[in-house]
Amino acid sequence: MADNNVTKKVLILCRNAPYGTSTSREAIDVALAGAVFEQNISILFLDDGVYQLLNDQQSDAIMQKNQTKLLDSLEMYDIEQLYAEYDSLKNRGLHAENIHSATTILDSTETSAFISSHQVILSY
Amino acid sequence: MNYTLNILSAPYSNQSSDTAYQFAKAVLARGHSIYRVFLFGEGVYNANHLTCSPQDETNKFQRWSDLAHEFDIDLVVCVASALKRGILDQTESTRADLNQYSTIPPFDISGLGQLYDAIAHSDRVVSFGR
Repeated sequence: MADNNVTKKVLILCRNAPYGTSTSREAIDVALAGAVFEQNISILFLDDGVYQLLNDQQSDAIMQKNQTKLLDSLEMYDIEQLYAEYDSLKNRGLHAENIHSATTILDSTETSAFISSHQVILSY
Repeated sequence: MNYTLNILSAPYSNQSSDTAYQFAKAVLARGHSIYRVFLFGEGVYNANHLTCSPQDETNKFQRWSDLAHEFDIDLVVCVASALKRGILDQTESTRADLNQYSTIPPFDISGLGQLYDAIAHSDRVVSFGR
């Protein structure tokens, strides 16, 4: 049974592009809340989720809050590393220089190991 | 085992709410327990007690309510997701200076801290929707 005193490693898996739906913002809200409650939180961007990491988003033009600003706020809550899967970036023509500077890129083997190293996975 | 269900999609527009309900029934039928059902994002619409379903469809608000009463399940609605979608209990409605409310017990409006509490106290956390 679950030990009440153990802090579990929680992975927030972001698989959806920003804007269009509230999913991407809500995922980061869950991560921020976890950090506030001093949980062990990691964030991995996969599939269309990697679009959240793109630099130079001009969301004012569509009257939406900027996803980059939201991601920048994570650092204040001690979530300093973001993770992205290499194939998801490559398949979408994205490179390390196009995306958020706090991102560590993992290949598919590393991604599998990274996911496995967490006890709880919340996919958004 | 002790389960927590994280529901992310609205009833009627997404089957995930039905799947979650069936999963809950199956878990309980096998003698496991449900620590909490957490409604987040569009999942908060499952808590709308103003739901009027067509005669040939189940009332999904009522279904969760009945299950919660029968098995004493904690049904928690994320406050940040709920208020902007018009899901308010009497307390929140009064606080927002409104004269209607749209959810009632056993649904309880609370924060994301309840999700992390559930993670700490559950053997498994299963998400439905999206």
